[in-house]
Amino acid sequence: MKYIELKTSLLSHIKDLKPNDFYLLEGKLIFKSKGTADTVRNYLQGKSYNVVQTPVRNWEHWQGKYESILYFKDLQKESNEQ
Amino acid sequence: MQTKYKRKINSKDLSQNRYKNTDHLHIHPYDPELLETVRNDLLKPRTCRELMDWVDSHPHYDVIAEASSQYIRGTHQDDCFWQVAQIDTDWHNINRIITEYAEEHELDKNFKTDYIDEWRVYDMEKQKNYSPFRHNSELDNQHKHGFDKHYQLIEVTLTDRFPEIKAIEKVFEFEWAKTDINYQPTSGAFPRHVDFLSTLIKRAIEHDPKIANAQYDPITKGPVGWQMKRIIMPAESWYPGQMFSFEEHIWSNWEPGQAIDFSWQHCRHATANSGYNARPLIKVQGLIRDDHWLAKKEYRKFTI
Repeated sequence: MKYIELKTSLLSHIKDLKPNDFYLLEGKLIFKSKGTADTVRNYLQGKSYNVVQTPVRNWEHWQGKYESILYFKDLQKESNEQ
Repeated sequence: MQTKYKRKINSKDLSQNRYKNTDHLHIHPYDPELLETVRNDLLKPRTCRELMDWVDSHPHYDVIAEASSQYIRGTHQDDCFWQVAQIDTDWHNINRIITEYAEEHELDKNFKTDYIDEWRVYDMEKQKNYSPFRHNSELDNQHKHGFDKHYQLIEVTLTDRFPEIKAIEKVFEFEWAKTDINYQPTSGAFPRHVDFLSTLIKRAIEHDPKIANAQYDPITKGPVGWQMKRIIMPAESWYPGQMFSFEEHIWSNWEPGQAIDFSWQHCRHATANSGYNARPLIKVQGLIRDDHWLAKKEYRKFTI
């Protein structure tokens, strides 16, 4: 699974989720709002994904502020991965 | 013969600069919003030549490379790196030849990865050292964080020095095949990164208009209709302290001849040699079509 596929899928399945609500940082999804992260976490857990949620270390050199991070554990093997 | 891509140190297109504050250059983790902007920029339609020109002249290669990764943490190890072949040959002899070359050229003694022009493709004789070419901003980033000894890259394809290794290159049936020895002396460390396989694709672009003008796929990071492959295989058994990571997954305890394919496009990979023996790794890269055995993920054994 690539970020672009995941993001497109989440945006099409979760009402009111916007492209700028979250980004990709070193393989993890980083959210501006914890509430939005909670919604996405619940959606993914409903799809039986093993999802970890953590707080964010906000760095001085970043332009914006973020409240929550989500990342996957133990995704299943894909076929013909590039 | 000069190549188009034998460029000058300062040939950067500063109009592409996205940093409002240059104090923020090379500070990690990169700004997530900036990465998203660059990532979306990468998705714009470009030919291979346009993409390489864009990457080559961009003032912040390191940010482009980081943004080009679509890796999702948690991805299965088998989707990050996987063995595609076993090459049985006289590895003891090959390792001896590499060691002799390293001694002859003092690769362990004169080990520093510095700013130099492109050298590997045509201009071997004039080179004063054996550091691999890197984009200046990539080197800026790496040096800023103390990574100034990566590995030594030894040319194979374009010389007659290593016929035994050229024989290995042939089994992969690549177009635009290019092989190097990635020789990492002790204390070398190459920080985590993703690749563009620039040397490979630039060479193809220069000599084949079909590839130059082919659409660039920003997810496969190659020409549409082709796959770019980079196969790595150790020339010597693993020694304790030698490290090779692909995101959260570790490759270790390797043996000569294990041919490994990997997601060079998206998996951040890194190497370090904290052992007490040099680590010679053969790197074979090239272009394939979808009907190639590697594209079909077939496993093969070769005896040479």
